[in-house]
Amino acid sequence: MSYIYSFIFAGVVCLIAEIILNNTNLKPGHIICLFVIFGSMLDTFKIYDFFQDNFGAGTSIVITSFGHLIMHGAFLGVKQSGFIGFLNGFFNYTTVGISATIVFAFITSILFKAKN
Amino acid sequence: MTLKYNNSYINEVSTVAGPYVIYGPFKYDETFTDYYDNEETFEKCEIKNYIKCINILLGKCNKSENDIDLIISSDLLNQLMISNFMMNHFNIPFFGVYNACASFCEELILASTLIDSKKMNNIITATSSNNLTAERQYRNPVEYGYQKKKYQTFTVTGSASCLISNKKSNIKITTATIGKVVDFDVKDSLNMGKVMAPSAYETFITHLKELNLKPEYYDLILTGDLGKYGKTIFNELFYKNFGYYLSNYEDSACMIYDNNDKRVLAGGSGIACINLVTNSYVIPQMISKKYKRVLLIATGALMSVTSVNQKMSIPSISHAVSLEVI
Amino acid sequence: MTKEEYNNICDKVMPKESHLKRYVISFFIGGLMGFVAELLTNIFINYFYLSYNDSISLMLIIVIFITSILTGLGVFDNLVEICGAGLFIPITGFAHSTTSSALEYRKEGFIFGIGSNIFKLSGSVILYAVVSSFFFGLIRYLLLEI
Repeated sequence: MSYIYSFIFAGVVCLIAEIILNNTNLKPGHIICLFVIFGSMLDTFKIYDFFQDNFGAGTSIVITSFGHLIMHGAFLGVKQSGFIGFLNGFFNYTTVGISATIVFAFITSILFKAKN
Repeated sequence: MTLKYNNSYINEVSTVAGPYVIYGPFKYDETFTDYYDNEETFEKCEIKNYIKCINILLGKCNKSENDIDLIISSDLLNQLMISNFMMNHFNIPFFGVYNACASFCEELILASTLIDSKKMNNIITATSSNNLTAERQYRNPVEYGYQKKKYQTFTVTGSASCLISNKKSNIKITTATIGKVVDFDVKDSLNMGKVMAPSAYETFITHLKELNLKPEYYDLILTGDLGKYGKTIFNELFYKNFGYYLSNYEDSACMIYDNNDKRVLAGGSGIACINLVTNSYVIPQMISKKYKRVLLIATGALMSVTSVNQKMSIPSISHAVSLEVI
Repeated sequence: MTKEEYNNICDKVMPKESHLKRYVISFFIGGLMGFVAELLTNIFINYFYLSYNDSISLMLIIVIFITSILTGLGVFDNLVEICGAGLFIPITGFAHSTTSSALEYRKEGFIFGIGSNIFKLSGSVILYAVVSSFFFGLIRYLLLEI
């Protein structure tokens, strides 16, 4: 069942992005940023947590989870050391995505050549 | 502004074509199939093939570097990088000009004016463009993918050059119209047809008016790189004012590629597009007397990365040159 | 001729893109990405006995790795051209834009080439994730925690 929920959640998020892309002048870059902001906005009232609990890993693979994870990291910091931990904890959870991307991008750029 | 020339002729032409272009309907002097072509970067590959193009021209017309008075060259990259490095290899005086894709006609006009004023005898005009170097400068990184629009054009890879001289040959440059900048406040940098069609039309009408000609005077009217939809816009603009469609009108963007190739979208663009079509199709056809009078209208979108990023509109310019068989 | 008249002519001429096909493709591909994510996560939980958070991390690493390699091989840009939002909204989009920038600026050196430009396209994601989280986090802190 969780497979179907994951499928539908990720599919719907991509569908919304595609609809925005086709009906406005926004470029993919704009839409990704919009969705990241949207993700952290949804997490303000813990709505994204609700998605994550019910819809499985499909919620983690879409870019909206980026904003959500930063919020989570921040509040983990708050839990540990109060308000100072707020800024300190931003990258508690997101580091895996960012560092994996940096490392693999760097290695790829050394191993491969741009083709066309 | 329309000029008339008495003794300026196209003596010899040369072409070098790259990927995608070589599948098109025309024959070229030299071809290459890979964007690297055994060089380290796309830019070096473009420079190498540009040099090859000039050397072929010099070989064809049996001239040494000392016989050439001037090279006028243009390309799409910032600060005319390709032209500058190409000229590193030649011991010839050099003018670099830039009017985006309208540079071809601009070069012909400059060369003809210099020759007509009897200051110079032999001038080479050359243009070069490369799909990947242009794409990476004006749009996105080469490997970055995004959904393409149907009206997008696909920059031509190749270079072409002409020898303009006062020595008589079959093809004479008779008149030229220098265009003005036209701006219809189009901001979509992918929609080149929409940006450039009005300026092509404007220059065309100015040319007819100042010389008191009918459109039928020409056997072929060839615009630069409007693409499929830009061509239709040009036709519609003409229809709106004259009440009928031109039968002798063609667009080089629609001719240069294999028409069944979906990857090239609305057709070619780039500085070498009209130059390659002129050198490999129009001039051979003129020599075989199929066309007697041809009007070339090179169109250029004067955009820069900065202006597009700052959400400014894209102005466009077109220059026209007429060729006649004598 | 005024701007409006010209725009009218152009609107008539410009081709209509078929939106429906794109919607179906991006829904299906996006869904597939979600499905794969769930599948991988479950495999890691059930067969490798990892915790939920670790499985998610490992899943992301694998997806990013595959995206980077495919981008390097010159395949991924063709896929994105077809699939659109189905591939740029999942983490693949972030990895793809970062890798393509890195590949592009490799020729300009390691420091001022890759170093300065690796986040040229995807840096805005990090920027807006942090900035928006800061403000929304403040709101949440003030509303809920106090």
